[in-house]
Amino acid sequence: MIDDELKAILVCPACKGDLLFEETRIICRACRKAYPIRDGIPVMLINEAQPWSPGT
Amino acid sequence: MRVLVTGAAGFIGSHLCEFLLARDCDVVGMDNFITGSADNLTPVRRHPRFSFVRHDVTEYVPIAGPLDWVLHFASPASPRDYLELPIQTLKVGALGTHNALGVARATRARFLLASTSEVYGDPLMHPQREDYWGNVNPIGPRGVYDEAKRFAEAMTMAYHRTHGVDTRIVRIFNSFGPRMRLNDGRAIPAFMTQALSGAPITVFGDGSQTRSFQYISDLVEGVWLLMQLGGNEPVNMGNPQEMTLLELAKRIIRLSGSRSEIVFRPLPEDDPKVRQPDITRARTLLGWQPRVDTDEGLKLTLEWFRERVKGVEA
Repeated sequence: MIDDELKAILVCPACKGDLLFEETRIICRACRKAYPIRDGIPVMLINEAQPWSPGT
Repeated sequence: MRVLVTGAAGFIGSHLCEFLLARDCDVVGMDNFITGSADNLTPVRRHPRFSFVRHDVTEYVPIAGPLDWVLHFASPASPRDYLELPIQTLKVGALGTHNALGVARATRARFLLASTSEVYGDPLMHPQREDYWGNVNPIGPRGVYDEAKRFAEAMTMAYHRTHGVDTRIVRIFNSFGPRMRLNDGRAIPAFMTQALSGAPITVFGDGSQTRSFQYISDLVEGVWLLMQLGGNEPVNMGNPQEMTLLELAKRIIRLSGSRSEIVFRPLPEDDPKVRQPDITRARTLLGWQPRVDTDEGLKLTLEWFRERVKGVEA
């Protein structure tokens, strides 16, 4: 669970874009990356992000 | 008030987070877990005002504010770690400090750099005062940490002078307490682990080199005061109670009731011979001085290590 306060201030480390928070990952639609959430911790490491495209 | 702490899962960072939460700050912790550990965050993980992001501060810091303080504590800090991670150490001092300053500037937050007594290198002035420029070997193996922090200080002052960021620099002398890693290679964890397991205590050189050890609670209190009262000039924080490494080994043997013997090993390259903070500036500016006596701090730390060493043996 990522608290709302963190959601409000976190942006994409690659493009500074807004993020979309899902249950298990965090999506940057602008630069098409999915950052994992592990043990409730958002992992905002660019080299651990998966490529993302709409509909996946 | 909202505070970003880089290196939040480290020894000092995690104590700092606890301290800030106890003073009603909202804390955003950041760490990449290279040398920090999620275990260190156990006491704060569920705190309603604590949130945590796993991130590498050498990349753009993805916080769009608002923030009131940025406290930059991320860095490998024990010689064993920075000798193993020389490039990461240089990067976090250089790029990491730049990025942390960038987020402070963008959010108009006050910034603090956790610097180190290592900026004085193997000092030719004793005790070390903040206006001493140091004696560092830039190409020696330890230079990666010393020079990273010296660069970080230069970057911090440049952001202050050029961009008007309200910055603080604390030069932290040897600090100790619970949550130091058993195997981080530093004297106190090594001596305690050896003493508690009955293994010989390895002292490097003849043990006549000196250090001054401050207990962690004194340091975090000093950082808190520095953020509120301090100026932009660097401030030493450490315990002026200086002792030789041999004396430290003997104290730990006595306090732990150990029967370990002391054995001597060759001194590492560029190991500083003396180290003692002049804390006049912190006293004058902040009314700060260490309150925890070294033996008292050692006892508190031994209790913590006793549990961990037991776990390793079992």
